[in-house]
Amino acid sequence: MDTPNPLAHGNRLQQRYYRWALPYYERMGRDDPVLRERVELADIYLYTRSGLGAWAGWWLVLLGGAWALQGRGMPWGAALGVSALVWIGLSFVLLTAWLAPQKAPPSQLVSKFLLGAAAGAAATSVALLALRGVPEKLDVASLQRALFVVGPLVIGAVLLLSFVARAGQAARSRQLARLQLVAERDAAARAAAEADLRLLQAQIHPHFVFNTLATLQHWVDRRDERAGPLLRELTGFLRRSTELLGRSVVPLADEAQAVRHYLAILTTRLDGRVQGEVHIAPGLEAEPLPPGLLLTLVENAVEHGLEPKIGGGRLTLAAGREADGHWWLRVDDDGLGLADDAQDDVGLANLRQRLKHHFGERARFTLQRRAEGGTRAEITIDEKP
Amino acid sequence: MTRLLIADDEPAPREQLADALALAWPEASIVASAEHGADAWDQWLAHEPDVCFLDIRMPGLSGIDVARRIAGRCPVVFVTAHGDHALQAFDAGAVDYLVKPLDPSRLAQTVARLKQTLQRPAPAADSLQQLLAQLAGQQRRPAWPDTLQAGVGKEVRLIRVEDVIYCESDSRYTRVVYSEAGKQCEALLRTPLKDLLAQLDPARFQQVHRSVVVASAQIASAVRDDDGGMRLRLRGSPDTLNVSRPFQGLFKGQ
Repeated sequence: MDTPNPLAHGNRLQQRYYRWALPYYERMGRDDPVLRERVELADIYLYTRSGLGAWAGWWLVLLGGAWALQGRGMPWGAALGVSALVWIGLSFVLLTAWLAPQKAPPSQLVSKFLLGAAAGAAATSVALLALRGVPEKLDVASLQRALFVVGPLVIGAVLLLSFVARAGQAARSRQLARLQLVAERDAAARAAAEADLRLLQAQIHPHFVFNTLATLQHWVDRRDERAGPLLRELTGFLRRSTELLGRSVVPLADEAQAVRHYLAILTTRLDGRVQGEVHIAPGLEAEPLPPGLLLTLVENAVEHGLEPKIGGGRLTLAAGREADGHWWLRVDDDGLGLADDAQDDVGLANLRQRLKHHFGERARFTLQRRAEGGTRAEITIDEKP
Repeated sequence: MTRLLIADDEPAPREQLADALALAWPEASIVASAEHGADAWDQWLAHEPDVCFLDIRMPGLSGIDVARRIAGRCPVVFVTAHGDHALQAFDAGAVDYLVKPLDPSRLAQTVARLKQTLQRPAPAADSLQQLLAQLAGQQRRPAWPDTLQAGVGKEVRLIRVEDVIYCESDSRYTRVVYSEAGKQCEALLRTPLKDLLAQLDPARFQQVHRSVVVASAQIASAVRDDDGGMRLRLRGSPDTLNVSRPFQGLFKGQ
């Protein structure tokens, strides 16, 4: 239930009923939460003003049935008994068919009902035969009269039953679909929040920053004069990359500047083992990009291509425009290259999502092994139509 | 005197660690200072130190790869920048970790813990190996190359990795013994063996000596001799190979 049961806060009768029913609801809810919801909804209908008509109708049928039987010459007591028996039985069957149609599909329910009716008729006949003995001759006329009364009743009951069961099943599947929708919506919201958090963490680059601080700490302790320029580069990197935070688009030139700081820091830290360069073709500086995109590519190339490689490495970030108007961004490294079973890790899956979100079908991202060794990550973006 | 190995691919953090250790643990001395993972493993074999301090992200072999090869034979302390959350699993375990930039009081704690550990016999290494295997699984693997390039005179010969029988260190070069058309051939690679090791799939190649790596499928038998040595016989070659002490445990017999 999305909302609390109003019976819990209703009048004294309603509250009393709710207190009595609560343990049953809970037991039901453990096996089948959908059933619990339906039972509670049915109770809310029956035990509030809206259900008064239903109760009145129910008693009317019971008393009307007894009156009709009495009119055919039955004593009042027997008439009331028979009417109550049939009507309460039918009510229970209908209620089950409505509340838990999944326990018995409609066709099965109808056949069960017919089987039960036949078994009941046979048992009654046997009992009558035992009590009154075998009738001397079969009264065909009275049998026909009885069949005229009972036949339509049985057919009506069967139709009603199958109708109620089908309606119950439809209501149940609508209910399930709604619950599923709610669950999916919750899951999607959670996934989006987690993705945002990961992105935020990635944009702070903790591993990179702390590694740089380790070098800085040492150089400061040793009064090494390389500390000053490195600190300046780190400041520039942090300023650029934090400015990118929280913006929905940044111009290519800003990202490229953050990458320049990143590469300068890396080269200093690794004592020249890794070198990098950035070439942005004129005219592309103002192209809008989702923030952190280029840094993610560069970081990925360093982490998986250059850092694990023994010996020197080179990285180039380039951007250019083709004659037909589409433009591209490339990050090339001469590192270890892709394993055959390389999977997108979190950063790259995220990158694909953001490209799609930002450019739709206009952007493509590929990651491939270069013939001369290493990896090329490439984004191509088509001109706006 | 406790003998230490430190490994970090960045010079400044490596020096910082050496300086900090000199202060925090004056009774210990650094016997080897490695610039990358493959170097660290090679130095471990050369010196068999008492304790290793390993950076996690390093070229060649990662710190975790090196720790797996050490296989509990000496305590390992990982030194890492922020971000390797998995390491927190080790907080109370046999393996310790430090974050960069180093904090002297945290290092002192680690040193005190290590001194205790060194007095006790080493604990069972199995659970540790499992943890390390798990950590290694989280790292992305580079591609294993299909061929090795060897210079023979003026030509560059491409040797298929699947043909390699064994590789042997020859000072700064590596001698590769391989089979071609049923014949045993050999060639010289310009890569030192310790660096080559990082390019060979550990599932297919087994190091048996500081200077020998053999294709696992080529090992026919291991024979123990009287003075504690061990020699390997090979399937594809009449040569026999020496198994040095740290690797003899690989051939215990079932």
